[in-house]
Amino acid sequence: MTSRTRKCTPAIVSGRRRKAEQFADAFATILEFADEPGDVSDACATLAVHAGIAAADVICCTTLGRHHQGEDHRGAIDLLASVDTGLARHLKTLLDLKTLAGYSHDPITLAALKKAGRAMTALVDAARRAP
Amino acid sequence: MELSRPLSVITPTLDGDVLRVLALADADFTSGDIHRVLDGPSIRGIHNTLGRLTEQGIVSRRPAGRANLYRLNREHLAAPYVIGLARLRDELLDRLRSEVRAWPAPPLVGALFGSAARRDHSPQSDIDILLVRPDDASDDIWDDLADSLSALVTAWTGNDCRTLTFTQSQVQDRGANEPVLEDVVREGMAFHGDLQWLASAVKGRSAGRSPGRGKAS
Repeated sequence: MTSRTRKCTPAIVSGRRRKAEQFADAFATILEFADEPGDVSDACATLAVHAGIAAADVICCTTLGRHHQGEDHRGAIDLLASVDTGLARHLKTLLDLKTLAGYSHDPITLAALKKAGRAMTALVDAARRAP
Repeated sequence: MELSRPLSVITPTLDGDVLRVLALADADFTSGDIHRVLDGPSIRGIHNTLGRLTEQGIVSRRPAGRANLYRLNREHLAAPYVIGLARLRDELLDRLRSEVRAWPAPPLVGALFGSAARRDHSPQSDIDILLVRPDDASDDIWDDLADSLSALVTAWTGNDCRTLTFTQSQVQDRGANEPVLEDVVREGMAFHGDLQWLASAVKGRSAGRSPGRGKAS
């Protein structure tokens, strides 16, 4: 295993779980009240990314006893893949969008936003089901 | 059965808990990792269990520096059955999903809640299921379907099952004042439909509001 990991504690699990739900709830709320999804696509995509990362931490903590630490996207995806390769693909979808949504001048497309929403939902739902 | 400790259907000992942890990830674990995931048994007990399971061949061990790394031996004859038992809660959710999808009027939302969704489920616990009934679904047919679902869940698990039904209108009109729906939104596990729709109603976002206006209508 090459990714940098950190041992989990109950405080880390509950904190990351709370943040995953909070980011996901904010994603849904902002989209619901926007006049047009395109007006909020970058903000919502960024929320989806953070919800997915937090959910991935919960899944890894409750299944492996450790979670990924640092900016190495590949390491984070590989760690989650040891639990579920489908969930790892969802995390990859979100991490691929992270830079575009948060740091570039180009807006996120509506298709990319929908894909981010689906990936986020899959990860947050899996975090709820995690043992 | 105990949904949070599914291997207790065949063994009440720590062996079942340790096997569950190893079965749910194709990864190496130290005894410390397993101790953190289980959050209860002693590390000595986990270490002894790992020794027994390694002797049986269902767990493989390799040294890594001063530690040992343990992994489920997925080539073992028993491995598919151990993995299947470890995933019994997912199996329950899959069966519930298949069952309600075939209904003449499937629920808008179906979700496990209560102890079955939390991690404190015991063999004596009920299994609580929320169903949101479409407004145009017939009362008689719905009641029969819900009763039959409840009987199936009891047959599958050995636990009593209670279904709680709200109509679509009830959720939209008074969801914000129903504590049980708040519980479902907070900790429920959906097997059908979209919990986000339920969350919007419970938080009073959609009731009386038109999506996209940004203010109450």
